[in-house]
Amino acid sequence: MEQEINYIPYIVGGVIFLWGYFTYVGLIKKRNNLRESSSGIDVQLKKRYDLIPNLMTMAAKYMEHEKELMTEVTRLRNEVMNVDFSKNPQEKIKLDNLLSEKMQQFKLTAENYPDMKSNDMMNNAMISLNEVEEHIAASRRFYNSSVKELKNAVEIFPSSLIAKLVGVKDDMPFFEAEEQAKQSVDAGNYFK
Amino acid sequence: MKNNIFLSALSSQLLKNETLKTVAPFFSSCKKEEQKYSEEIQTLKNNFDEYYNTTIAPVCDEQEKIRLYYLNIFKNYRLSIIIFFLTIILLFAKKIFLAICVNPSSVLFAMPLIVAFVWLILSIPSKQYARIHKTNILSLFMQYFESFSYIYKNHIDIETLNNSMTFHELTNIKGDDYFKGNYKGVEIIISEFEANSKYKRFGSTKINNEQKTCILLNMNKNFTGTTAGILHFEEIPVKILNSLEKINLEDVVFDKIWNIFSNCQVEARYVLTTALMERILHLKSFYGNCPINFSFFNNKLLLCLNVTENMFETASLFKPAENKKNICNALEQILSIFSIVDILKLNKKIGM
Repeated sequence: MEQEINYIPYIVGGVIFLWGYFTYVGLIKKRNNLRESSSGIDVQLKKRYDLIPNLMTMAAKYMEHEKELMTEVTRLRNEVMNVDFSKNPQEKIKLDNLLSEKMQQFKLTAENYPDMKSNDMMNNAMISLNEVEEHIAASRRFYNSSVKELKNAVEIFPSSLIAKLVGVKDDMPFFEAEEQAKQSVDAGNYFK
Repeated sequence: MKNNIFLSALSSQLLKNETLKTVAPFFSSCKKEEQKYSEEIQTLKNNFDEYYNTTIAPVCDEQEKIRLYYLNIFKNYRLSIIIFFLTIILLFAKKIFLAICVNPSSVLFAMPLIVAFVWLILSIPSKQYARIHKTNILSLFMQYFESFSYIYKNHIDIETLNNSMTFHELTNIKGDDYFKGNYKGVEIIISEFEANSKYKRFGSTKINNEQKTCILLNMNKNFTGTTAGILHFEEIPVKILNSLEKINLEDVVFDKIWNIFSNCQVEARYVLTTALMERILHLKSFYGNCPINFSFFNNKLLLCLNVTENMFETASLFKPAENKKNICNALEQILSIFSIVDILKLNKKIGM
């Protein structure tokens, strides 16, 4: 008598294998997306770091009384440049937030120097800086969305099982504003 | 706004759409409300009466003579057609009767052809009058906005429209009203056209014929990629699915309404800032939640309104040439388009 073959375990096994494979593919894609977005931030930040020396050199002619601020911007720029985002994201985010804050302060202070504002070169540099800042903001948003997608995939069951199995981690932090930056700014402080 | 033809045109379009259920209640309430224009636009609106009385109204007398001339031609055509068909019927009454009895389907087949032929003949004087009236009156009307010009039967070029990725591959375009000019330093092109597009879905080639109203605006940012927002999933062109990737944005409301696609994740977010997303939502409600697809490409923004009825219809063979109501409707339509610049703040440059 012919023995009947039970296909159900094979079908169930096949479905589980396919689900596992596609979840794995999804996780790797999300991780690569995150890597792409973090390198995107580096590219945009590099543009800002390249722009700062020119900006400071031009501003130095007009803002003699703001030497302290400009020195601080330059120091932070040199410091943050030496930190690799993919290796030490927390430190990079912290320093970059500090630099952003100082740059904001610099832009507000620049309002006090109409001669500087009327300089075409300075004007162009400020426009470029603002464009770069917008690109940085866009890169951060892409990075945060990639972090969120990976975190969801790694932390939510059942894809968390595959993530543990293949060693995909969600160790990259969100790019958040520092507590100090979240507080409302009293613009008057800059014009004392 | 009393005579807002644009909104009523959109309303009747929406009546045919599935979106009616969600849009209609808001739409009818929006119709009753006075549109909130910026101060500059309100000034343009308030000063128009004087311009109309001094510049447009005097030309209308000449237009009225032209209208009556073409109305006579229309009447002659109509009379000729009636005589022609009566003669045919009288001469071949027996044969026609037999044909109806023996093969009624042949008559059913012939009827649409006859109707189309009659419609084609009768529409000739109407079209000729519309061309003359629009070229004269709308050109004069657009001079009110100084930098604007009007071209009859023109359209945005096919390449630009295809590059915007908001359409299936366009094969043929028949242009209608076309306006070009500057408002607050932002170049605006308004183009109405009928487009044929071709696309493949599930192995079969489909051909679409749609009437579109597109507004092309210069953007205040530089970008090289393409970011498109398509309202309905079934409208997403195949080329978008093949070449762009889906973007999930932070604004939940915005993300739910539009399917966003771009060839660069960062650039999509550079163009669609959180502030701009809010402004686009505001624009949608300003237009009574009418279906709008958009695309950012080559430093430009293309807004595509899904309207089946004609905008800027100032010429009617059967109404007096001096029709202030129609001109005022066109004014409302133009001003609502100018408002896009104010709502999206396209005139504000990034920088100091």
